Amino acid sequence: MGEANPGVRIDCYVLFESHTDAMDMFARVRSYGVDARISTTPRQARSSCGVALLVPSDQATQVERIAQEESLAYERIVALPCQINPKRDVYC
Amino acid sequence: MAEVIDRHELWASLDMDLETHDVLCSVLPTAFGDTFLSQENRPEGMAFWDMVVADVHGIRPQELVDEQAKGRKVFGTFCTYVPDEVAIACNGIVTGLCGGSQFWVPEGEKYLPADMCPLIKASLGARLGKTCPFFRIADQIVGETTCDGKKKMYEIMAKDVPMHIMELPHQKRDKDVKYFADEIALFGKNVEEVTGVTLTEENLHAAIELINGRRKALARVYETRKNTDVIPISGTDALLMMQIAFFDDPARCTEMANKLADELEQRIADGVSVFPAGTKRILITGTPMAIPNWKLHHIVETSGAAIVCEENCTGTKFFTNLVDEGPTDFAGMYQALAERYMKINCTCFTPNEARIDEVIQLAKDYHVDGVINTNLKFCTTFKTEAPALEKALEDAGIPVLDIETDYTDNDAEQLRTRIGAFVEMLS
Repeated sequence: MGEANPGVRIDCYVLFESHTDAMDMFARVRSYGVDARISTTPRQARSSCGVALLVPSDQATQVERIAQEESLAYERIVALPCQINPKRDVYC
Repeated sequence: MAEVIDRHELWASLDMDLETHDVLCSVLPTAFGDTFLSQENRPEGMAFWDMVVADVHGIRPQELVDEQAKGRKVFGTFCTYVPDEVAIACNGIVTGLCGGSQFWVPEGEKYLPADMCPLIKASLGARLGKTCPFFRIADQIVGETTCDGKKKMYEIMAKDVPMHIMELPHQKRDKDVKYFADEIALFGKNVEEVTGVTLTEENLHAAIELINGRRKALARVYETRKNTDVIPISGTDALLMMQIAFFDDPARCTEMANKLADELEQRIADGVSVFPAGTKRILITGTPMAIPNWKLHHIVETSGAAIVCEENCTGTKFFTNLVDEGPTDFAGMYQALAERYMKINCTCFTPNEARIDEVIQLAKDYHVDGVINTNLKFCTTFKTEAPALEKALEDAGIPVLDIETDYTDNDAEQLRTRIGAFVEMLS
């Protein structure tokens, strides 16, 4: 398998115990303008599949604050070097 | 309580090969991220489909298992010719079956010749290898006689899971449409036996309306892709929507597709495009692209072009033409269903000149700069039809590129070179 982009960009993945929690969080943080996207959970973050939220690292603190203020459930936030490489050409 | 995301208990209950399935699960996040999350300015409405695919072997399979616990039956299908309406009328659930990954091909090759199309090999491999929950959940598989490879594969699969096969005529004379109407009636009897629910004219008509609603919603999304000033959604995202449409609850699919269409129509009004102005517009035609086959779309759209239409089973064939809602008795509805489904221009028909006319018409409707005619390796009918289609396109002044590929990664760089050159030529 090819390697992820070796750039310095760090992405944060918000992990959840359920996809409903993920979608709730997505809707709320988007309403605050957070650049969040629905994502698969990277294997580097957790060994099981599932829905995660991908947010830029400089917005992770804002996500934590919104989650606390609005009692949104999540498991944890994992910071990883950018996992996305559109020219990797590794398909399922 | 929230539904727990770890699906291993579900998969174990389905007698899946957890260790092997885990290998597939480990590849999905990479492919999904590279293909979908690398795109910029995607419609907000894609979040729903991203969620479904992010847990593709979890969320919907759990729903199906929950419905089975209430007594409902699940019918697994491969093809756009199986009328969902009949199963739904008897409170059944129809799900597509996975067949778009190289992961399942080696298992299929244990039982099938290597020189058979990867979709067929992957489908059998997914079932017999116990690595796809949809194949494990289905109470019955519904096959159809669209190609010789599938027909022989069904004989092997039928030893492992209950199967009903619909005979699809390979010509489109009136008597063939009538024959298929009779086949639909026979399928109705089968569905009644499997579900224990009596098929009524009222329920069948309601199901026809439901599935027509889904067709209209998906068509709305496609309609926005005809716009020449704005391309409001990538082809890769549209393909994902279509792939999931085979699996999702039809009412929810309709709702989400309509929501997405609302957003895309607004994007057109606001001038919001996924691609820069002047991006070359491509129509894809050919063999189906079962989930998670995203290879060609991703390569095309990372090579400077945009796909604006798919003339295939995971594209326009799935929603074009509505079933006539006029008839309300069984005979009339079976005939109306047969007429609609027999309008699909699959290469299994002879002659199949209507497909050539349809591709040219779609190329005009979607204002494309070029067509990519693609077929999965060893799909004889699509391969044989290619020269006639491509000559007709060239005669119509539409540039065309012929691509033969499979699910492996091996030819990705070659495809990038060929597609990049084709896009450059369009300029």
